[in-house]
Amino acid sequence: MIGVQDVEKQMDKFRENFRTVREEVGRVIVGNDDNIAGIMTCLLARGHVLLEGIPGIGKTKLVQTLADVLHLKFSRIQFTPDLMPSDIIGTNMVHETDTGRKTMEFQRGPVFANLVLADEINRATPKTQSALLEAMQENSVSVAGQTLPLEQPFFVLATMNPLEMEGTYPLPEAQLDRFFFKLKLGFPSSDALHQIVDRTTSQSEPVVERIMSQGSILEMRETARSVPVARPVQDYAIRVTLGTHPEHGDAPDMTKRYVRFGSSPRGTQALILGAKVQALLAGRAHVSCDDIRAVALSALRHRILLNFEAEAERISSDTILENILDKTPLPKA
Amino acid sequence: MATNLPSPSPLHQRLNEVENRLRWGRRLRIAAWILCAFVFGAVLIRALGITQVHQPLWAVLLLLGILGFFGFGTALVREVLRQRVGLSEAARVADARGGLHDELTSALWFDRQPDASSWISAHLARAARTAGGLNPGAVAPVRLPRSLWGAAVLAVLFYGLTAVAPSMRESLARLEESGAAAEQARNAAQIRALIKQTDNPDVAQKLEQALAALEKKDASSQEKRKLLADAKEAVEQHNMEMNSMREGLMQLAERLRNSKEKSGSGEDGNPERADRAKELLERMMDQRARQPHSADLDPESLAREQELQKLLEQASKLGGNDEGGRHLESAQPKAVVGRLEKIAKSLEAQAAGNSAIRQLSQMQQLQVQQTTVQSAGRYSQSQAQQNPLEGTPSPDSGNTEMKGGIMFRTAAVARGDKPSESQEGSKSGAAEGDSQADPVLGKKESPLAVKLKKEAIRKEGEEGETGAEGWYYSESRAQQSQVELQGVRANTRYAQGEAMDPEQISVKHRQVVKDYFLNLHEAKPQ
Repeated sequence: MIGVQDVEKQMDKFRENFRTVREEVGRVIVGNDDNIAGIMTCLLARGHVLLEGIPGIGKTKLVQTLADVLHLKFSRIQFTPDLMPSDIIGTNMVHETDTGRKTMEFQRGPVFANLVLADEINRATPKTQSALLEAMQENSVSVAGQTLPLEQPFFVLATMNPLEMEGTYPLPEAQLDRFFFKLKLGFPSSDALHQIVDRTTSQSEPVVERIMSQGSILEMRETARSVPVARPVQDYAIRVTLGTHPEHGDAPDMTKRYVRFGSSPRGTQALILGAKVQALLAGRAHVSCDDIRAVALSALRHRILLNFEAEAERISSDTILENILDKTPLPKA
Repeated sequence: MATNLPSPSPLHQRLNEVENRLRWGRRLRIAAWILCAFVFGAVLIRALGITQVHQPLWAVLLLLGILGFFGFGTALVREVLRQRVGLSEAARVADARGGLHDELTSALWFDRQPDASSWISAHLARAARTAGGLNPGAVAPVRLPRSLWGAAVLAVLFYGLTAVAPSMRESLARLEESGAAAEQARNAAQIRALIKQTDNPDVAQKLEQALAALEKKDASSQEKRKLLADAKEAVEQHNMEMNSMREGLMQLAERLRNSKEKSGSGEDGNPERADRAKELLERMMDQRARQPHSADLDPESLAREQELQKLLEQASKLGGNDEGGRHLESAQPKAVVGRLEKIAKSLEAQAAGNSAIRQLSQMQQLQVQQTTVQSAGRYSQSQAQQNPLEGTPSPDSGNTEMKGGIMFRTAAVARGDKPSESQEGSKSGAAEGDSQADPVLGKKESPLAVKLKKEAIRKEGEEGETGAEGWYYSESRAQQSQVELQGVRANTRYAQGEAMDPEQISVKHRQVVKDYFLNLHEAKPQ
């Protein structure tokens, strides 16, 4: 059992590592500090992230930079309608030995990496999309009766373009639920655009250094999970999750009116784990309700299924969640 | 209770201090609110004393209000007492007011748990440090809430109002009473003057009674209405009598004028005719005296009144003129003219009676409006309810007959010279009731009588007989031409569709072309 002093050291180290990664990524990526923090939170909470944004705002660049900084094995899959599950997972191929004997050998797909970028995931068919399901949830791949574990940390970053919906396959709820956070990348500001142009149109583009090893990431993951959560705070997270369920008695009126299905228990898990990382970043050894509120939108926005009335009145899930956070009373200890 | 912190820990000490301060603060607030409730109650009771509520209903309502007020205060106090202050509440308040992000709340919860990991210990140590630096006086100050100061200011203000209100109320009431009484006295004097001018003692008595009732403060509204209705009836009866008298007088004056004209044209030498006129005049006057009389001052009657006045003047001249009244020089005609003048005076008296009853009615309406609490809208509503037929729009024209005139339906809508686009073809039509129907949809449909033609089946054989054995319907010529026209149109459309075909191959040649290409083979080399 470690002592109190060790805990303090772990916390300091966690914050220091996090700050370093953030700064290093910030050398290439302009702005988007919250999204960088969100991606790091997902990585450290053993989750996967879904990035939504219009084309050209640096989704892929962000992921590539992160992979470079973290010194992790990186692979990119461009999802297209004709992409097959075997293109992701891998397939058995006939291999002829020197002696002329033919054997079946498994050729590993791009999913066997630490950092997998699933670019434009909604362009592939549901069958191909679901090939990622087992990998994301179980951290393993089953092929031809064999279950192959994936190397840790395994982190999937999927991107989605919200504009061109023609010829796309919206992600099924089961798969959406497996993403820890859904982050929305907004358009950069005028100042940020100046910086982007300056950095990318000069003779030399900034290059990042590999500053964190695989072991450090796994260590940070352990630290994040160690943060204790008091029952009143956990109760608050549960009440927020239950507030997304229209059939629940304490759900706000807006939820009852516009929501078809609420968040799954994975939503609560995401709230608590995300809040733990937030608490560590704030230099606290405990989780507060403010941490829960800070991650609530990212953790729950893709886990709420809106009804037709909400679609017709252009009510977004963020609006519903903000209403729930306003209406949910803070714990009374 | 088992705790993970050394006892007494700074966390517990500080939280106990905060708890005590919270408890005292809450007690102080409750006491202040109770005091405030009593002050307000006292102000309310004083206000009730000022308003001098005599009506039992109002008294009951106000009593209920007081009971409700104290009931609300009691419930408030009970609710405040129910929220007991403990360490958890103290931790929550300290977290919220100190911006501690649930640190003390979490620490208190972890402190009560049996297991303690190193992380929890670290957290408790941090929380103890934070609690040590906490100032309980800043987190939980013992002071009265600001809202209570506001309530105290309000109470003082109300108390001041209740102190000032009685003198203001009395002076205002006196002012109002003196003004109203003076106006009423003026009206009554005017009405009395008009009553004196009336010659009918019965009418005068009724009017006097009604006026006395309206002047009496303790007279009931029912009694006032009854006496006013009696007076109205008497005046109307008198008007009817005078109307009849006017009619007779008109005829009489006409005859007198005729007799003068005749005397001027040389026929005045007939003493028998003059005697006859006198006799007729006397007889008719007696008849008028016996008959009941009335008049109503509608426009027609007014015109007749003017005409009558002219004729009466002529008749007076006739009676008083020595040159023109050669046949009426005796004492009898003069008496008749005198009586005519008397009647004219009674007509003037009738007008005074009408004015008096009108002013009495106005006086009564004024009293009703002043004394009732109904607003102007509710007053007119009640008037409309008394006359439900009034204000109902006519189903034919849409015009509404209302008190004081007619509301024409066209007046409600601004009309242009031409119908607007929205009115054209609209079924709702214009405001005056004209309705332009929508154009008929679909193709034109002819009645069956146009489409069909009845044809008879003739008997064969017998010559000369033209009787029909039976009949049937066949296509009429009009229908035939219609169908043929449709055929022509269909052909045109077909040709048009063919021309627009992207393949540019006519339909009838399409199969031939297809067969040609299907059977086309490469020629075998020779």
